[in-house]
Amino acid sequence: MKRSFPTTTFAVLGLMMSVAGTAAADHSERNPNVTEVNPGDTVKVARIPDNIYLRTQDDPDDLIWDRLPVYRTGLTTAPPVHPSVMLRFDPTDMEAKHLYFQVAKSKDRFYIRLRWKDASEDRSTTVDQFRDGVAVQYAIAGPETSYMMGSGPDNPVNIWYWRSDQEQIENLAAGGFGSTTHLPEQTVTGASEYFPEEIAQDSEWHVVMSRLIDEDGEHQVDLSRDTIPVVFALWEGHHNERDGNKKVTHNWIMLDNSDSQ
Amino acid sequence: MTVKRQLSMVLDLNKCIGCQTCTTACKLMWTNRNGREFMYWNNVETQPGKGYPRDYQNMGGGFDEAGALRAGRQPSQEDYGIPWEYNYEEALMTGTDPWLRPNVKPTWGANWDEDQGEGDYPNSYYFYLPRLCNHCANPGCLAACSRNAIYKRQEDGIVLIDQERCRGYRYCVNACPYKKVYFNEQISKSEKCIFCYPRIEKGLPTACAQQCVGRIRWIGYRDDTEGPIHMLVEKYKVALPLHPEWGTQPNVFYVPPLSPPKYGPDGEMLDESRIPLEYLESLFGDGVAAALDTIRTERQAKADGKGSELMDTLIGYNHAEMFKLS
Repeated sequence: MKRSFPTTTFAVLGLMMSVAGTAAADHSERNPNVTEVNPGDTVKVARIPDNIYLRTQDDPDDLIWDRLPVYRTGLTTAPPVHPSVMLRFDPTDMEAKHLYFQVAKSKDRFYIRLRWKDASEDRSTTVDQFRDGVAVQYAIAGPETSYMMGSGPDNPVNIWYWRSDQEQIENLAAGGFGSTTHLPEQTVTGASEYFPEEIAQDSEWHVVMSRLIDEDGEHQVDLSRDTIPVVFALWEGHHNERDGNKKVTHNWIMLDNSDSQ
Repeated sequence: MTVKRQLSMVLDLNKCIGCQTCTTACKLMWTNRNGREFMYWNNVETQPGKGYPRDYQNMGGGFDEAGALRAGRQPSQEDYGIPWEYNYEEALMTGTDPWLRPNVKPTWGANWDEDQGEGDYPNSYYFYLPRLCNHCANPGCLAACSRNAIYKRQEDGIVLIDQERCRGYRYCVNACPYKKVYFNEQISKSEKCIFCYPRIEKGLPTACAQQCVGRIRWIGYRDDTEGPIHMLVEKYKVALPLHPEWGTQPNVFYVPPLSPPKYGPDGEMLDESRIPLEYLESLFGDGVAAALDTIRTERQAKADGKGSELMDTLIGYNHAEMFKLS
């Protein structure tokens, strides 16, 4: 987990303040191999060659992830849509949380790998402690679906939710606020690892989630189509984040899932 | 929140002896296992006191005057008290530990400050306050749940958490100003008093009421004009909700405690009750003085052999009249 800190960091940050409006973003590095992605952008789903054998299906630190393109996107506070969320909403928190993501597929499996900086490893869900979590949300239909939990029961979303207190991915669906539902088919697998660093702020979560491309069942995202709209959500336990108290991508990022290179 | 009928409970604080039989009945029936060990759906606390969880009356929650949810603080594990076990084996059997001690540091519990109260002798005072979910007409927990997991049953107004829908956000725990919703760490979901609905459905009173040796609890429907709840709450107005200013409209009511007079510096009796009226009003609202007057008057009538329908009810001659579940 060695990282370099180019001397241009501050200059780059200064530039970003004026360009992206993400002045207080939490990344402390400028990696030329990372592509910045904004909502509305399209990202190619990488193809894992058939002759590559993944020794562990969902290894969050597999070597393959060093060979695939890395994208970074800024997540900001979700707008409160419930009084309980509103009570805990901090309108002054404009800081973008950077989420690094990679998307890839093999012949029969679709993978998404996420990593982000988190100074504390919050694995406990206790009376007064909250866990870390990350979720990937797919529009089951097209990008006209609301990125905020879908547009009602007729236009739902499929959500893969990883929570730090268990090594299984929850396969969920939602059709509007408050409707998130555990699906009968739990088809998504995943694994996570926390990498602590000397400088706590540089510690990272790495999470991989994957699913067979061909899966039946209602509300399961179709991973064989050419374009898949996706957004991300992130919860930091030590900030008491849960439910709508989270940071999210504010509108769909399009995954180009076609076989063309 | 309109329901067809509303079950309700009245507790007479003049009769409560703080024996915790209700607490034990509830714990044995519902909360001695499966992650609920720290929970007391029913507890009996001494007032004045910090109560359970510790200092819950200052944790916020409920509604403001405009009817909006008020922010509430999450009690810590220490505020509830972490259930402990003793090292009986080591201390008493094998002798490997010279001390009998708990395996965690005791910080608080459901009756931690029992019998402490306030005031200096001979004017010290306290009383017992048994508490359970108020099955409110305007539940803070229900309003706070972003999952629509909390609901009031139409047939009896019992407030329940749908365990299938609950995702453990703990907004309800924060929002209940009485702190009568608890988070179960084992299942990552919130749980609360269910008013013993499986018993209610069989025509039986709640376990806490059935087992009460002081016979301080009445159960019935609010709309039953022939029942004890109507008589105590509506007709004589001697039963009052706890902290009505929190805006949740509780359906559990308390007959406030009378107390002997205060003593003056020379041992003379003063025209002032031992438990300050202002203190009782801070708990039960403006109706306290009138309620205490009514009880005094009716008690005297009964003592004078004139008869009193109110006192006959408060005495609680038999369970059949105390629990009207149809």
